[in-house]
Amino acid sequence: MIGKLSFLEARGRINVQFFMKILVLIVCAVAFEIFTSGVFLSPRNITLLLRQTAINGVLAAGMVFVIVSGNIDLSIGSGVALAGAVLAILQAWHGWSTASAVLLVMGLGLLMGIFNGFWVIKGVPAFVVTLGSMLLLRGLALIVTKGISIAPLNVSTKMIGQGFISRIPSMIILIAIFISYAILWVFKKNTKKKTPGRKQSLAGIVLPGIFVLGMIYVVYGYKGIPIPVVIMALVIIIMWFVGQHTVFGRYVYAIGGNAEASELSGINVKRTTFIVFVIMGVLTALGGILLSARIDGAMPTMGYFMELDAIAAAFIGGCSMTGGVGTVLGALFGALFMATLDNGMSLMNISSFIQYVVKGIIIILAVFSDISARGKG
Amino acid sequence: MKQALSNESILEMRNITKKFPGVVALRNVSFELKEQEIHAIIGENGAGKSTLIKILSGVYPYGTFEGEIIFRGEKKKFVSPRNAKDAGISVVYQEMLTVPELTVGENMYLGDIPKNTFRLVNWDKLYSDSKNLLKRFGLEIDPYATIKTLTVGEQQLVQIAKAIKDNPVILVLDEPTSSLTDKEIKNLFKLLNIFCDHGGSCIYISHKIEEVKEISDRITILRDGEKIVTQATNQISKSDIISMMVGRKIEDMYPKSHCKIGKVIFSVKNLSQKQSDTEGDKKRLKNISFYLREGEILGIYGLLGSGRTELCMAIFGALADVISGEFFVYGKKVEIHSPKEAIREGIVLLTEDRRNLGLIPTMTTLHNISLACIKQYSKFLVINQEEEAIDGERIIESLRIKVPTLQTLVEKLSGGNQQKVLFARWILTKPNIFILDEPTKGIDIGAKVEIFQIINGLVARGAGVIMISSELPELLGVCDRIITMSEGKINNEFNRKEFSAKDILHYAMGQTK
Repeated sequence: MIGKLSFLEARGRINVQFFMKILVLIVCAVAFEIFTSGVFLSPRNITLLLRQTAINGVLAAGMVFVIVSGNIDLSIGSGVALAGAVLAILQAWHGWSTASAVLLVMGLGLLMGIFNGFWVIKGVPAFVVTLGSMLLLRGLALIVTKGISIAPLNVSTKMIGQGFISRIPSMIILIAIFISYAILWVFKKNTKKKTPGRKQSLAGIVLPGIFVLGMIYVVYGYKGIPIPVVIMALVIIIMWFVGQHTVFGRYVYAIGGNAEASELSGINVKRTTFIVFVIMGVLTALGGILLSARIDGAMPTMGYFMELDAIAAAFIGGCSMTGGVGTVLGALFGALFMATLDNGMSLMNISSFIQYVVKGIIIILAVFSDISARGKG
Repeated sequence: MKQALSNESILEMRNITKKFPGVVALRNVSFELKEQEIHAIIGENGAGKSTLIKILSGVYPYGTFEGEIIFRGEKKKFVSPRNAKDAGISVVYQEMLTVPELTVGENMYLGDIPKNTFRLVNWDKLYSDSKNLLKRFGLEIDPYATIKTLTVGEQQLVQIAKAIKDNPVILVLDEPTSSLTDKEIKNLFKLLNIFCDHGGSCIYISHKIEEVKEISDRITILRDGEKIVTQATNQISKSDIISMMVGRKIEDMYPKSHCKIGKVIFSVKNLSQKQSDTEGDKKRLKNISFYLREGEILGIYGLLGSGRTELCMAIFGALADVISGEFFVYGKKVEIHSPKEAIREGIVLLTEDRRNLGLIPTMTTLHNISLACIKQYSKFLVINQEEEAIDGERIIESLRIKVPTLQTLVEKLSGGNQQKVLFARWILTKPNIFILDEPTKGIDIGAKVEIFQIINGLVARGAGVIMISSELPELLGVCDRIITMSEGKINNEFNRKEFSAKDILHYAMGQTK
């Protein structure tokens, strides 16, 4: 079977590794469905699972760029805490409106990114810089909150984390997206023939079709699409586009693959690296807003280990530690996969102690399978 | 050279064939080494010398090649360099494998550090032993000196001394003299003769005929992956060696197109490099001025360490912090502070170190090709991938790059095709001034000719080419003019009519008018 798939890959149709990963995810989902006697794949649970994925998905999308560029960012868990804390303080203590508070927190994220990026391009290894800012930002979060929990947020802010787009509009949105995708697909199919290399198979339209049908079922069966999921989807789409279709994205892959050669090809490596960290900072702030809005408040201790979740998602999604390799869609898969494990095992009443062990093993196995597949190629 | 050769053979390599994707590096090569013999393997770059050695030393493990290795009468299946080394085959590679921050003594005993009763390092023994060893080999080197403070030649000798210290059965030297001075070469030869008198055997790889004539007992000539002949050194003349090495007429190897040479398009005035802390005075560029004309191939010839690579980097803006001087493009003074600005002025540099300073191994062939000119295909920073692919396909065809699809990772291509990918990258930026640093390094002969054809194509379109090479015949073959460099200075200039290998070498070695 693999042999046949490699053959297809050689003709540029599909990515075998990615296909295998999706297969593993489906197998897991089916297994959980069986073990939970039908709870796992219920519309309600799928909706919650997606909502659970949202924050990690947003952070992982940024982390992919950081890792692909050959760096790492350990500070985002603390960054999430600081951003969430500032949001809560602005609203609970100072009565700021949703728009102004959110805007200010995003600006704060920009500053966090500038801080990290500045030191990295000064030549301090990203690991060290962000290890430092991990402590620094956590400290700041504790200082501004005076170490206590802060609540509540404005109702409209809360909706960012807890709200839904109701069922009918959700379904209309899904169908509209699919139709515009289909039009684009037909259009491309007709023009692509002139250019060599890539061919398109029917799978390109059938699989998304099945996916959209599934989503409509989910949306109809519960409350609609959670707003955090919409935000994550937007972030993923934008970051995917930036990564695959823009000059900046190409440069990020180039500097991660070989920074010196990139510089000698006329790429401003420092500027590119800097921007990568700034983007990560902004997405960190967004993650903080989502988290704070979901729990309707902030604690100085929130966001612990979030950087590691995002890093794990990126690696499960196929990022290479040495840079230059990885995709946003891969990271989305990684985030979904981790959320699936969390959610499925919790439904099965497996103790959280064991969950840690299982997740740890899965992360290592996922990356190992990636590396051994790459080695063979 | 020794008088009596023993007839016992210590090593036989039988019918060795080694294939790489797209290239047969060795075709049915057999090789024999006798006891106490110094056996030279001679051939041009890409003839298969290094491949043969890598097979012998287990770098290419047993099973990745055809044929067999018989060492001391036994069939051997080396699977790793360690394996071969334990059996007594010690290789000193062309590339430096020292730890630059450690001392000479530490480097010599690395992997075999003497210990005292408490299992701690016995520093006294380490340094007295290495001192004795260096003395025995006639090297005036302080064992306490940090390796990086030594000249490249001294480092090479320390490495060879280190290899001999372990008393290997066979010592393999891969181009050992490429960075040695005459005196150091004498020293090396003395060392080798002592080694062989004490029962060792030596495989000596080189492309320098003089040296091989002087030191070896027998010579094996390789060309294009095939063995041409093995003969006793005193029975083969220098001119025979040359004709068997080259095997083809010089004109075929170096196609020279004579295109019209026009006005000056680029000139450098008083380029100097400020003293940097890490490198000695030797590598500094001193007061360099030269010019390049339309349609001209200008060769720069200098030995390793003459500053030729620094010169390239300086022109290309990669050393902007530490240089002073003026650049003129089409008579207009330009400021170049980074490669980006150089490219904007139409100057591009094909680096010598393809792997580390050229290719992006994680990217596809297409993305490598389009890297420097990707902005041409983009509007508002969004790439038009159709246009990119069409242009990529076109240049792949015109340079005859052998690649299965545009999406193939560039890593998977052969050296020659990788080099062509880098040519493609630069050609797409439509430059007028090409700087080529060792453009044929590590490329097999067939591909070399194609590279020269590409270079001819560039000048035919009115570009100017500055070409650096350590292979003088290559420069003599394709250049219109050659300038010689030594110790960071340009010391002479030759027009094509005045080309003489002897004179050019004379100046490159540092002699003056």
